[in-house]
Amino acid sequence: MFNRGITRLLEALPRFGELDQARIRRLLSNAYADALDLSESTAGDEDHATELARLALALETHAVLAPSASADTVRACAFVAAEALSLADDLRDEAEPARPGPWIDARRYRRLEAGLLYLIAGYDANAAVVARKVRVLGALPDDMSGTTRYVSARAEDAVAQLRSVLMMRRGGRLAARRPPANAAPAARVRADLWRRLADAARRHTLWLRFADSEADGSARADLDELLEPLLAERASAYGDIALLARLLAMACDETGGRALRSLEDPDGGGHFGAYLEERATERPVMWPATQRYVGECLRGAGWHAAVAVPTGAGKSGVAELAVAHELDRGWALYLAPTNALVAQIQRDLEAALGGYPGFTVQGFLGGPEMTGAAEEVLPRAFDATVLVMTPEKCTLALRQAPEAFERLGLCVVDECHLIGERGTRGVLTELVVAHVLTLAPEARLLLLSALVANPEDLTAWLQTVTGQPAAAIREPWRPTRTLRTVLGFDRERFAPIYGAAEEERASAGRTRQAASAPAALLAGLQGAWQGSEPGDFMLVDTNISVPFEARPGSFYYSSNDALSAAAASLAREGHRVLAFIPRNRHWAFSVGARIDLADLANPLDAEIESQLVLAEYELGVGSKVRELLSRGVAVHTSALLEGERRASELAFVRNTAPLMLATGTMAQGLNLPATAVVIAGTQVGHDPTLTPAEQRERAKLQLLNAVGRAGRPQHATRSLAIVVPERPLIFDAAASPHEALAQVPFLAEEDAAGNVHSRLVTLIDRALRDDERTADMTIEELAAFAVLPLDVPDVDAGEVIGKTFGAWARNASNRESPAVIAGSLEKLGRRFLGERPRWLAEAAYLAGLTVEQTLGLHDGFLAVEAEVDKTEIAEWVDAALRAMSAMRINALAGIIAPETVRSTRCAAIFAPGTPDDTVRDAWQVLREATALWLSGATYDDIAALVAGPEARGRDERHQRAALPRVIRVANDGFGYGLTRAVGGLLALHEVGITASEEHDRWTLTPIEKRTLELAPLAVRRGCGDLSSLGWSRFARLPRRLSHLAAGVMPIPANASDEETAALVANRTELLVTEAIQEDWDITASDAAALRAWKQIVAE
Amino acid sequence: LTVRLNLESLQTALELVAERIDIQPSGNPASHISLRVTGVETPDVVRALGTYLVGCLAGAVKVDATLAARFLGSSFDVERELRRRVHRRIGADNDWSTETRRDWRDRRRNPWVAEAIAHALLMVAGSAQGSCVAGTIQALKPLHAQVTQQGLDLVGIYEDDEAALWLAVGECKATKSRASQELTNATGFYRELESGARDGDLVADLLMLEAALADEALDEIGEALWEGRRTYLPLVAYEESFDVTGRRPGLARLAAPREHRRVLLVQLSNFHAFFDDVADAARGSVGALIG
Repeated sequence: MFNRGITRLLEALPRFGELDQARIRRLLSNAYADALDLSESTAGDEDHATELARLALALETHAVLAPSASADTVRACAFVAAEALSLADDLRDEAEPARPGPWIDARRYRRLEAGLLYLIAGYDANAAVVARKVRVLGALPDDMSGTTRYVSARAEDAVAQLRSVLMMRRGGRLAARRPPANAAPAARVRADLWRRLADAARRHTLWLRFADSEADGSARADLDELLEPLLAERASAYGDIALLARLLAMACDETGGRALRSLEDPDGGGHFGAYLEERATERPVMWPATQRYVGECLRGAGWHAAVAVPTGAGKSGVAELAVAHELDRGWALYLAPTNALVAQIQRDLEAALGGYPGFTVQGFLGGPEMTGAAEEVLPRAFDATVLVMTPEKCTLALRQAPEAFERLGLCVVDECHLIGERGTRGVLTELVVAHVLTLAPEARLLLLSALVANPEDLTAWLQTVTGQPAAAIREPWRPTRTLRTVLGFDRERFAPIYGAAEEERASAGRTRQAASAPAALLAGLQGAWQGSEPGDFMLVDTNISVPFEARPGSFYYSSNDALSAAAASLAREGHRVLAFIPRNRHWAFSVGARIDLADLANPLDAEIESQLVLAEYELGVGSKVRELLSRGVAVHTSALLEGERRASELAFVRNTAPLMLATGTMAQGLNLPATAVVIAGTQVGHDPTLTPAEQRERAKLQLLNAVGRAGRPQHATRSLAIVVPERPLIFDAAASPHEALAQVPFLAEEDAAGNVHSRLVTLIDRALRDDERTADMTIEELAAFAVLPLDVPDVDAGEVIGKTFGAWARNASNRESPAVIAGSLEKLGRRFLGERPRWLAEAAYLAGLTVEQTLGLHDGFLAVEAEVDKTEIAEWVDAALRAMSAMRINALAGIIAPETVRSTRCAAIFAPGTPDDTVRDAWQVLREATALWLSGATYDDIAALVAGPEARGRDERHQRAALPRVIRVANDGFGYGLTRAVGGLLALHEVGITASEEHDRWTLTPIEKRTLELAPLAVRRGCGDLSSLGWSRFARLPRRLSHLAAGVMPIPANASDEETAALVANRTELLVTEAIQEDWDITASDAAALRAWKQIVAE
Repeated sequence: LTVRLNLESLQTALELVAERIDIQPSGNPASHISLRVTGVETPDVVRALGTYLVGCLAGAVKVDATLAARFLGSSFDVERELRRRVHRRIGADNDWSTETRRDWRDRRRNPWVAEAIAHALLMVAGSAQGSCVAGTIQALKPLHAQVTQQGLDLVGIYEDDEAALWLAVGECKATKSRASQELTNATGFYRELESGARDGDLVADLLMLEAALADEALDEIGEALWEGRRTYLPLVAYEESFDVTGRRPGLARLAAPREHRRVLLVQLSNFHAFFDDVADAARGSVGALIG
């Protein structure tokens, strides 16, 4: 339940007899398991509550009174006391009405104490969770009068202001209250002390929020002034107020030290100052990782930083602050691994930074393909701008607009562990970072990850290759705790149920008998399953009814069924549940179909409904996501349309659906916080490119990452993770973990962090050896070739290589080695070129393709050029497909992965030894499918083509269904592979016209040039003509609506970007009003889709 | 504003209590230690108790006067306020002609006077003949001075013979004829205390002792609480005898060790007369205590 951050914190606890960390963790975990309330049994609850109370009392007293306690000891005591108090509160489930009076009733008082103790411990999110349970009585009972009413109202003022402190919200103004004339002196004193406490609390929140006109930072001093006579006079009649004042004073010290306003504004104003003030209204204090970044980089000597923090511990907060700080000096680049994350980061940064004049947040979605679309190319000057993109997209920016990086001030690399990822992505990310360092030698690098165990290596690398100091920030603090459990059956409870089922089976003469039994959870009480004491594990009985099959002498269960049962039960207990089905991305739909939480599901709101309407418009059939959402289940897999994914995310975040079923990888990095995580099985989807050891490591990382998704700092600070093993487990009362650990060994690991290593070292070693063999080049080496500027004028590939993590790891960042490596690689590249013109290497670099792929496109295009109408986008795309069809399979696989077209009528493209005519037919299907895609056909239409006519009208999403396959073709085939190939044609023309000896051959008319420049984007957007593409680009209409708009209000083909933008701006309102209202020549589903789009834009 | 308390009168009263009151074990019940408190009914002790409880009230009035001056910038008539509080706690006279008055006497006045007796006993612990705790009091929460005041009745910190700190918590009852039942009620209070339900009050009370305790003691209190170093001091003032030597299962179930479950038994020969006499003594000592 407790991670390294807590372990470190608890090390500062005082030595109280035999009270040690392990006992405290056992005690708190036990109490949490009790508080989960998963079964009717309350055995042991009272004992735990009593011991918790004693723990809280002892440690709170020590925190408050002990003069020799260090700051760390005070924090540790405060944390444990707060945990114990809040758990004791959870265990007392009976509702207790708040009672007004001159004294705050005990339950509210204890909650305020717990909240303030959390603040003292540095756990503000936890304080906010406690605060939500503190009710403020707005109106006092009518029968309360006179002095009692007066003092009670002041007490409620204090409750309200303390609650605001706990929630870091601005406290409201204190009402003026006059004492009754006959109020006794003690009552007047009591009322005034409440007022002073309330006022100090309010002024602290205002000070934190830069509201200087109302607060001068003297709240802390006022609390001292309040406390001094109370304590000196031993005014025990006011001890209740004194204790809150002491705790508040300590909380003021702690939060003041972490306050955003404690940061100096380097320019005495500017964007950063404005940012701090605005941010402080939402989150006025920094979490530890940010605090350390500030200390070590903004205020310290650190220039670069590598920040390794657990999931949900404020990684993005570090990045946000760093970006805001940088925007007064230049611009910032924010790299995130997926388009979904780019979109989320863009939204978050816009919310945080977008409100200031001059700040711009721009997201670059899409791939690395060469393009001429203006909106895809980096502007030349963009100070005070943060650009968010994937590393793939950044390769394009580095190629197309290298000069833009001169004023780059900061480069954030989110999820930087990707540098070590196998396949193309790791190599690409590393080279992008190295290239950025080359083009922007003054830029700061900020590497972020929850999965890096060796940030010191990363900082040593940055320090070596830039000469600037770098700080490794390893901060294990996390605001949430997770109880790790494994699901199984308690032998004692299971045996009679199994016996009865077996008897029934035998008497009926069947081979199996369906039954169900209540699950038990084996819980590790020490966090990671590393404890060895008998008390480190406990068995938690539950009411989760898990189906199983009794068989002769044995039994069987489906881990997916067990997951369904556990997830549904937890959802019914009020949990927000993320259920991972890592083994197969299609199972989310089939598992979801068996869960019915309709009674918990809220109606879909307008935005979610609109996203689904648009998705269904694209699909041409109903969305299964809608069906699942209506039953309270959201899904998150790669086999979704964007609208479906967004609808699912919104439904889960807004609690329209309390349960989300996700694949192992899809929800990583996204902000989908849950209070419970359930994981079915311990196997993840097979990746044939990995060795067994790598496969195991990948599975471990994915599963630990899934466990790490549990926890919602602002809503529930303690969370539950349940692993459902593939084979059912029977637990004995002794609660031994050994059998469970044999199936789920990853639970013994603290987190998913591992050492990151460069994937470039093999290539570097080969280059240093001057090894010229090309036949055995790995996919990583090929990827490096595609993005390295080899043989490209004005770009020194050696310098880029010399700045890589791999070069540092091989001690090859010195003066000579990079040049040797670059020279060797260039030689390798030239072997592909042979006698062909050198400019093709430059075109390859610009296109982000390998030389071989570019050569294939070059030759293939020239073979069909005469048949191509270059004024038509669709013709350019078809030409690219025809050129690709002549490539070697290995080269082609680097553009479109074979997986993309697996189990479709195009699969023969990649099948070795397939007869030529079969391959030709497969290509023909792909060309026709592409044409459908570009013409705005529905996915259903495309499915009927690529999966066969029997696929028409089918909305299924299971493993063998057609729709998931078509979505894969569209996302990966059209949206990624084909766009790069078409970008390759553009690169050939751009370079060819100046560098080729046959430059006339590459010369295009203006309309042809414009068409080709836009063709890559057109493929991605599915708009095969300039008119629909114009609607897509400038109205941001989805694919099919762009075609619809182009149909009713076409844009002339010769319109420039400016003219198209103006036309679209003028006509958009017409489209969403008159086209709908006046029943232009559109169908009811067209009108519904337009209305949905209008709704989303309005949101 | 200054309030002068006649500390000499108070000191004399306490010395008299220490000298005249005797606390001795009574029987050997398995569940607790029974301590019989004698000597409270002698006239000079009654007068001393009257002085002591008014002194406690005067201390509270002085605190309020100091705080009012500091925070409200105002003052009030201290003697009048003291008389008002004395009357609120023990009444203006001993007129028990109505049911309401008798109910107030039994439920409010007498238990508070019993609380004052226990408070005085703790104040003199170590110097009296016999002691309610086995050690020396380091700090003691002032006597409850306001009628409606919440919190624990009696909270003190004392050091035992081995220099370990202990928490002492008193719970006082006064009943003419239902002593056994009231002792059961007091036991219920300690059960509630052990459940943590009163811990907010307890931490607040301990904080208010901060100024009276040495740093070493303040460092040690947390550990003392974790180790369960608590002494429970239920005090019952009563007239009609009950079985004071039998095992009491409720007390036996408490977490504090037997020798730290110390029941103070104050048996009175004339229950009502005793409390009336203390009240009269208190009303008579107001003028002497305020200078």
